[in-house]
Parts: sequence; structure tokens; C-alpha cells
Amino acid sequence: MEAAITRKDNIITAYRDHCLYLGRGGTLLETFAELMGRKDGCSKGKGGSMHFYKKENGFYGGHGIVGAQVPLGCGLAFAQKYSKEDNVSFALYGDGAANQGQLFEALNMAALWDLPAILVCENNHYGMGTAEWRAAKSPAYYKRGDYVPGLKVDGMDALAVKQACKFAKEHALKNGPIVSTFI
Amino acid sequence: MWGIIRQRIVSRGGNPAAILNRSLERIPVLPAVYASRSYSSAAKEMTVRDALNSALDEEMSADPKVFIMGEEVGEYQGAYKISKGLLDKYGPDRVRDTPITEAGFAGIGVGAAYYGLKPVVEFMTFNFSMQAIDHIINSAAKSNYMSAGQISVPIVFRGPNGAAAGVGAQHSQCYAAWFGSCPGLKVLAPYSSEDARGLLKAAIRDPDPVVFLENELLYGESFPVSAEALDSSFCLPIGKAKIEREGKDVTITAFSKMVGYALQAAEILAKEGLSAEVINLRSIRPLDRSTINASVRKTNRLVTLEEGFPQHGVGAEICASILEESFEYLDAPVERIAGADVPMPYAANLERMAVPQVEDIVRAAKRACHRSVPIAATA
Repeated sequence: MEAAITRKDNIITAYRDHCLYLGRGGTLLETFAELMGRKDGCSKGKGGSMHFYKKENGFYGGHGIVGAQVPLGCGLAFAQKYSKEDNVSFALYGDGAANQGQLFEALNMAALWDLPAILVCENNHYGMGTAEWRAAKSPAYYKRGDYVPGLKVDGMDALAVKQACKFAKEHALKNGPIVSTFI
Repeated sequence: MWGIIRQRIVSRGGNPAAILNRSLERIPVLPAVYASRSYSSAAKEMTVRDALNSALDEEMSADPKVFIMGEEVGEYQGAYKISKGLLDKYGPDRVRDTPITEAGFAGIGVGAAYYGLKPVVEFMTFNFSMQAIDHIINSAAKSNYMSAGQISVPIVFRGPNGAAAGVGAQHSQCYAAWFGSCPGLKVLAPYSSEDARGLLKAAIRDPDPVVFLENELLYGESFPVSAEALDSSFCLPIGKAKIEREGKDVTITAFSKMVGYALQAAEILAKEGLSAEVINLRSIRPLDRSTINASVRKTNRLVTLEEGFPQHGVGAEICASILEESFEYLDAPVERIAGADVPMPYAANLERMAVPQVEDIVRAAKRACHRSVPIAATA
């Protein structure tokens, strides 16, 4: 993903934030110190595993409440559009969070206002401990956008992910939000 | 201003009326300035609604990062007309009408605040804030701490709070106690127009999330405002209470609409020889413990007053604060007046019984002063 975007684009995710933090310029020392609760940690030991942030590089965390990061990510996109910047915001979530109501509320507003928001579902087929087939009637999460276009990507192919992010960024800047699923 | 023009007309000769008219056309008339110059001794009156509207207008004009978001704030001119005229003045980018999706737009507001904008998010009433409470508490209030200061959230959540008139159980709850218990939030509750203006401007300028609890029934009430309060840089400090009426026999603390009731009760008590000190809390969090304690140390008796439910209420916190800091100064147990411990009934007579009335405050103050009072009054 990092190969396709810049540090002026924003990323926000749920609690699997360790690698994204490293990709956005965080160091291993800060990561391990934070996990140990020590003051050299990226959040001075006050945040913990789920709360890594690197605002100056466009990484907005690190959120413990499943699904909350999607409206927040649309808010980041709102602010970029308000400030007339040519950048996008990626809001990452899992297949478990894909069923959250606030995701659809935020997506509706993002589509209404043409926000440069890219919703990325990292689908590992499990939500907490519950298998996908027991939680979601329609596991084609990229289609869940309905009036918002969706992209299905092979998440295990790094080059495919890079191309998808590049495409999504161009699309979002011109046409508004796009939903994608990395399977 | 008009005196100077008249002098100039007299000294240069010519038809005074015609010259005055031409002068009038060129001079932009600012109603507030005109009023304060011409009637320097009388205070200007302003409704709470106009106070809030002018505060929003001035802050939006001063800082392009401030924007308003909520249901009906734009084309409808505001559900209670608080944002009247702002859409025309600032455009749809800065005055955003949202769908009826509190969780979604509160989250979008908080996300925008993360990036550095200054959203003012309106809830049509704070009862609907429960739809969005996760974003208020977990996304906004706690972020500054969890990120060790990296992420600040300069957002204001505002709207009417507490009981209105005949709106039923789901539309009448007071949320002061719930939000007041949360570290990371500032919680304000204005009473008068001056409070509304000063506290809203302070809230918008504050770098932390602020919950701004208004009251629907106060919107139409007029209060005198000083010339100082009309100035666009006017701000009230967050965390300071105001002593609305000084007294020496009993302290009554209140916020929002109840301040008006407390002042009425104080008038009645004065006729019976009891001098009540009425404190307008203004700020629920941080609570001005020093002002409240100083007052109780002076009067030795306390009545706490609120509209919300009694258990775990604002009054409970004030009682605890007095016990911790001024126990030896109390001459009587603290009297705690709150709304009835029942979902707000619809019928007008039941609603009246579910919310504190002036007679209840007078009775409680007398009890605190060991005057004999009749058993609980009927409606």
C-alpha cells in the first residue's frame, strides 16, 4: 500500500495497527516499548497495543472499538477535501467490522459529499472468533457499498495490492468513495 | 456618533436633513454599537438563541477551520433556529446538513477534528447523542491521552439537553452527569445569554472536546448583556462558576434552567428572612469545587439542584466534594433536589411533578435551615 501512496495520504485502522505503524515511519523500539508499557513507547506507554499513532506521517491509529475507525476515516477525508488537498484517506477494517451500522452511515455521507475516502476490508474470514459464514449473509464485502463502486483484490499478492491502491486513490480523488476487499 | 454629525452640519451650513441623510447612507449601522452609544446606561437584551447564533457567527468568521454539522442546521436554519442565516453567510461547505445518522456524522466530525479542523456538531437533542456516544467518549475524549498528546480533538458537541415541555420519556433526559464523569471531556451548561455567548466561544476555541448542554426552554428567554459581552473577543473561562446572587444562610447550586428557578426561590426565601446564595455552575466538568466549597464554608448549608435523575447525578458529586473538603463546616445534611427517579411522564401534571419546581427548592432550603415545613406538597 505504501508504495502506491504518499505520507500526505492518511491511514486509519482498528487494532491491528503494529505493521501499519511501522510502514508509516514508526520504529521497532517505539513499538516494543509501547507494548511493554514503557515511556519510550510511541504513546509513552499510555496507549498500548491498540493505540499507536503517527500523526505527522498521516497515521491516525489504532482504535479499539470495532467499526469506529470507518466514520473517523471518512472524517479525515472530509477534512482533506475541506482543506482543498489532493490527498485521500484509507480506512481499514476487518470482515467482522464490515457488518457495523456506522460504516454504512459514514459511507452514505461520503458518497453524498464525494469524499476522497477509500474503505478497505481486510478479510480473514473471521470476526473475533466467529467464522464469516455465521456472521455475514453476504460475504462479498466489496459489493456492500451498493451505490459506491467496489473492488475485489487478492490481498496475498503485493503487486496487486499496490495497483489496487493506486487505482483507488485516483478514483477517490475524481469520483468519491470506493470500497475494496483484500481477500 | 450622531452628535458629531449634527455638529458638522451646523458648522458647515446647508440643509441639515439632506446632509444627515447622505451621511446615514455612507455609515454602516451596527445595531449593537448604536445601542451602546445612544443608551449607554441601559443594558441591551438578547435571547439565548441570538447569543448562540452570534457566537457561532463570530467564531466562524474568525477561524475558517470552524464548521457546523448536524441535522437541519443549514437549509432549515436550525431545528431551533440557532444556526439561522449561517448557511447563506458561509455556504454549504461550512454549514453541513447531515442525514439522520448520529453515529456516522459524529464520527466524521471527530475524524475531521483529528486532522485539525474545528467542527461544531449539533445533536437535535442530547437524547440522540446516545447514538453517537461511542465517538464522543472513545474516539474524542480519550484520544489525547491514548496518543500521549499527538492527537488533539478540538470538537464541540452542542444541542438542547434535559426536559422540554411534553416531549415524553425518550426526549427528556439530562446527560450532564453521564458526560461529566468522563475524563478528557469538558462539559458546559450555560444559563443566561452572556453564559451562552461566552461559553460557546470558549468551547469552540478550546483544543479539547467540549460537550455543550443547552436548554430548549431557555432559547427564547431574554437576558441583559453587557457591552463587554457583545464584543467579538468575549470569552468566559471554562471551569469557573458564577455567584448569581450573594447570600449568607444557605448555598444553592444549580445549572442551566434550574438557575432561574433557584433565583426565584431565593426571592421567596428572602421574604421569609432566609438569604440564599445561588451559584450558577456554568461548568459541569471541570467542576468549580473551590467556589462551591468557599460558599458552603460561608453559609454552612447546601442545597444541590438539578433536573436530571438523582442517582449518580451532579448533586451527588457536589455532596461528595463538600464531604471531602468542608465536612466540619456543615451545620445540616446536604439537601439534594433532582428530577424524579422515573422516565419522564407525558401528562402535564405528572411532568410537573417529575421535575423540580420552585416550591420544592424553597422547602428544601428551609429544611436545610431547620425551619419546619409541611409534608411534601401536592401538585
